[in-house]
Amino acid sequence: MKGKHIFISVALLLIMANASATIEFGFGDLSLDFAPVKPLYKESLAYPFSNDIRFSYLIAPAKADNVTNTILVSADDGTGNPTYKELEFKELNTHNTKYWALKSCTDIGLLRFTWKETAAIEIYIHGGINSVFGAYGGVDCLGFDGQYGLGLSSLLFDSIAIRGGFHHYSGHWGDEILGDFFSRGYTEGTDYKAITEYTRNNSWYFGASYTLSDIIRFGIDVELPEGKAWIRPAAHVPANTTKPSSEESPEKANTSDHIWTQEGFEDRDNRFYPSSYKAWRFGFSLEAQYSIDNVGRVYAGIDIQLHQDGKIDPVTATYSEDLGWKKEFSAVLGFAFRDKVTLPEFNIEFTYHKGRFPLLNYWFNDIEYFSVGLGLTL
Amino acid sequence: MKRTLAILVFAAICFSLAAFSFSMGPEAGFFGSFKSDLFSPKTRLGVISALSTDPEGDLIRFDRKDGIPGEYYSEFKTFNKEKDNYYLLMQAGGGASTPRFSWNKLEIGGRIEAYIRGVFFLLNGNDVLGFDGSYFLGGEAKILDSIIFRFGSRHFSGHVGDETLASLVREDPTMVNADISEYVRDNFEIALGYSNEAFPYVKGAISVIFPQKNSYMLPFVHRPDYIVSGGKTNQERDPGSYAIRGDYGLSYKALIFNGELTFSYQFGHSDVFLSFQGRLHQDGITNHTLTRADDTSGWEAEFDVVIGIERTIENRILSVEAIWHNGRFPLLNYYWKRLNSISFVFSVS
Repeated sequence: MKGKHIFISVALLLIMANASATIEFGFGDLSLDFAPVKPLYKESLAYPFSNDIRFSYLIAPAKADNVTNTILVSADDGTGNPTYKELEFKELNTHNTKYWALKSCTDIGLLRFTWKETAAIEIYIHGGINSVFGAYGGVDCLGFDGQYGLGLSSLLFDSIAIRGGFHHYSGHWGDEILGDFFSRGYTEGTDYKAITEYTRNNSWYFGASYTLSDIIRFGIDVELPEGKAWIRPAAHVPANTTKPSSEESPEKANTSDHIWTQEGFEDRDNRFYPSSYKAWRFGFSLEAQYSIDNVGRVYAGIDIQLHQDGKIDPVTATYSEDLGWKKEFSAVLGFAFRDKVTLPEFNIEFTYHKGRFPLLNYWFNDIEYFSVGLGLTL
Repeated sequence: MKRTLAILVFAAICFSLAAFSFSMGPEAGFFGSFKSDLFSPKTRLGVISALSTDPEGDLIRFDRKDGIPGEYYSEFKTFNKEKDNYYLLMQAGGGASTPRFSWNKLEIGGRIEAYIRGVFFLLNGNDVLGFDGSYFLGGEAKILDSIIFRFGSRHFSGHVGDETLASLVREDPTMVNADISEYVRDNFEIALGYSNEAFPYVKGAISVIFPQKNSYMLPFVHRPDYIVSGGKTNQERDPGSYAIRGDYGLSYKALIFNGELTFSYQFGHSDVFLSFQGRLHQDGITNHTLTRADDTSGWEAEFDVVIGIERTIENRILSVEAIWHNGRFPLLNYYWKRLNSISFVFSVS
């Protein structure tokens, strides 16, 4: 399924890139640009999963909450019901609160139609891989995330940008930490039922932003898992989500049934969840920039994330009305250098983040860190 | 103050007279457009069809089991020849050259680039076989618009996929106490080449990569004598493996030589190209075993033949390539597996 989506996108890209003899041409007030460099819609600069290239050093205060030394597993709570619990792959050591983060993603626009320089619409495709390594000992890989998306972006009056499409997230554990985990002698079936993962395959995505005088930008974006989607962990699956492909009877098509079976509980499902729970994600961003002629710009931004899956209690592995949405806060201060508009920006960035660890599978692990990084942004 | 001002004024006059320029903005790299370089920071998406592999099967290699060094292989899933010989290649990469100084026919700059690569089964589920991370930090230069040179630090790090590991533990729980063979190195890289925009029909480069003295380097069987990792010699760090293998001698430095030659021809608004690349691995003489009797006299060779078409749009090079590869499997941790394959790859650089 992942492959199909990507190949369709790539085929489209190639056709557009090579079918015509010109790169850009116009029809009166309408012009067409096959491969514009800068996308019409800009993602939040401070969002840890935005589609750009970053190589960063993360420094978290040396306290236990900021140590990432566990894997989340499903387990029997002793009464036959599921629970999620953390099992150590490494001893807790408050020295281990520094990390290397490497994110290699791109966000590009294709086939842009522009009318009178007041309205433009294009196809966008974005995605890449995000990884974090411990900056201690043997620099173990804590995990890899894959993400991609495809859809349409539009820009009106050079200030209002909107984007709609689908978005895929998939978390993977690092091999060294899995090796450490397995070598600790935990017994599958006794100590745990299954190792959990975080997947959104796929979600609908909608984003909008407003730019004032090319200085201030406010943005909001929303993700809603599709009605037919693979979602992990099992407890995050909304009540009525069904499997994207199933040759089985409709009553066996419920995604939560399937994922709970994968996580070791044959008779569990989430059909009893309230219909208001849909695993929404909301993002809000506010950014300011100041351009410096012939150099680039300096910018600052904040980003707030709200996750409805924060209402899932990991202890009981079920929806809890008493819990609130999970909140995350990120801030960025950056310097961007760019000589030519046809080249990406070279960024030097300082960030602050308080919220989930910046790898999908560690959604259960909160962290507060500062970082310094280098990067490229279209 | 006056002296400082005078120096600055003098420097400014000299620089303007000498056509000196400086830029912090990112530039395209001098080595950025080479076609088949496995370590180039392109974004790639492709399908690999294996014509043959050696050894055959869905295997993982281990370097130690129950504390005993050696070469151990375990099947992480039952090999399905009809489906498991097709792979999906995904690589996300990027690079930037900055800052850049120019002075007449000499350009000098810094260079940073990195990629993350994953190889997945294409047809039999989409489990990931592994991920590689690599980055280059260094400098590059171009002389007389045609001679290109670079030097820097090159890191390689191989990782086995999480789904593969989980499958392995289910298939063979005894391997829980075994150490997966990993390929990790911090190297120095030196490259020299020819690339001239005024004569774009031919370009080429050669490079040599060799491990840094203080590199954390795996597998042990590839490690030269001079490596002191974390303050420990080979004997101190891996006494069990060292007891079997011993020293290599001064001539062994785990060198990697690369060479590439590309011919291009403009075809409409695109370029068609034919590229040849070869690599020689000195660590191939070990046959990847601790047993000295297995050593060979020749280095391990790889080659790629690439035919493709590319188009440059707004400084992005989009290309479609057909690649014949005969060499190592394109994941670092599978260095012990030979692959003869045909691939179709789309790339952006």
